Amino acid sequence: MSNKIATKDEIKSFLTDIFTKEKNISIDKLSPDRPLKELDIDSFGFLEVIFSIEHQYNISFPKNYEHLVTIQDVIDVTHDLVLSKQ
Amino acid sequence: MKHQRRVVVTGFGLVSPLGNTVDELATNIFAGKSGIKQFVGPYLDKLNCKVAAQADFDPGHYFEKKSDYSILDRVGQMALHASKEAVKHADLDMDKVVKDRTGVYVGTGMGGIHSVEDGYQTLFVEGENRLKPYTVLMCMYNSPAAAIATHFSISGPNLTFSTACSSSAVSIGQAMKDIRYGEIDVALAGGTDAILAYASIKSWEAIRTLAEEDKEDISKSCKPFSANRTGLVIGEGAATMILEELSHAQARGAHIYAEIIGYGAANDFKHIAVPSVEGQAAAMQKALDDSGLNPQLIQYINAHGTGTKFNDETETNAIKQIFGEHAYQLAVSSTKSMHGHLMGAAGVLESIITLLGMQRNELPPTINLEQPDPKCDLNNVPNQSQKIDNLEYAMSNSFAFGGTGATLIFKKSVGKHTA
Repeated sequence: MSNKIATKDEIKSFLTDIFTKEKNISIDKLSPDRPLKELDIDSFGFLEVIFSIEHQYNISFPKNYEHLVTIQDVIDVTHDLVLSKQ
Repeated sequence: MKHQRRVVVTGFGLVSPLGNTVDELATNIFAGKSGIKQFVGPYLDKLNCKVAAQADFDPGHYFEKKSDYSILDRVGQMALHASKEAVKHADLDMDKVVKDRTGVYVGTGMGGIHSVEDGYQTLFVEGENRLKPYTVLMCMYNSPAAAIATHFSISGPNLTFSTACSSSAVSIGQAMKDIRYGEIDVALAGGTDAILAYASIKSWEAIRTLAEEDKEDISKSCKPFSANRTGLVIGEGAATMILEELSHAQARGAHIYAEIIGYGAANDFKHIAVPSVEGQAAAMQKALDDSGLNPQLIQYINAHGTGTKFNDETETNAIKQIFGEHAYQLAVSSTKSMHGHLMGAAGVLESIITLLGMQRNELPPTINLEQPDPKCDLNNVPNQSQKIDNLEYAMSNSFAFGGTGATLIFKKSVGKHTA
């Protein structure tokens, strides 16, 4: 957990790590506008991704996050949550 | 023949303190080797009892991908591995079995206790406020059975039994009944327990049943039937048996290790933790009744034989009550002296050892039987295995905190048995 506010670039790079290393998704699939549904992760797999983000930035995603459609949406929501924590 | 549909054992797999293959287990058991050592794990310095029978089981070594085991507690990892090995050992093609005529029956005493403790550690010690998403699925008692059933796409019964130390004897018995009464033709039946976690060991310390460490040789700490016995040693592991309806096994040309001819479950109701002669005898009697067998034909009993003062004397007396003079003719050993008490996996592991003895015509020993106890005066196969002309009929006893006793009776050949 970092003390300074994470930038969107840092969040993106953290997410890229999670997707490539823990979920074995190839990096060329990870463009920001890529819909999450095309990433070949089931709903439980995505729960694990959310858990890793929450743990990293000490934030809590809302219970329902169906409005997150693309990778960029995840980055934006994470960034908003990090900012609102300050 | 008492029952029309007969049930046979066609293979088994295991994870145990004496090895994770059938061959390793057999070699170690009949050589009288101990798998009991000093516990390796967190908080060792805070444990009063540092003796344990741990399985040398690193999931990374046995599973192809981390994602295959990271969502399972150790209790489920071991059970799934043991089941895969059992299927291989039975040479059973799971693509050919009828999936809704196949069932999974797993016994476990304390389920995913490592994950429960990890969760509490995260929340209470580390002060975090969230748990891993799979926590519920790792902690729930039916997780091992679910992992097995999911892995093999089994759509018949998927059942979990939790009756403490008799859990896997019960799971085998209930699976046997479901085959006998026509519900299914094939079962993966057994048990698993991985309770060597700090708080869990502490709870066993509190009930004061654990063996004291043998100061000269820690591996000799469990001494069933010996006058200087001080208690049980906690073990961990999992084991699965493949059970089949006889004609199903014969049709595919399977090797048959034994027939399960009797199962008895009886409740020892007098006390939640103190065994009684009547309670233990009742389970043996029910199994004998179920088999229709003349008790004089039983040649060997793999005892519950925990190594506690109470159990071993009570069990000896219960055997005398059931068998009378024949108690002195048959052999009664406790292999827990070598592999420790596998709790929810004890009954199935000990049944496998019994079947290995039948195959070799050899009785597994009770090791560390240093001082004969006049109150435990049966042939306990002291310290070394004993050869026997033909081990045809054997019994395995499992008793438990909570009262559920379960006895299984095996017959080696599938010819008609003499009643």
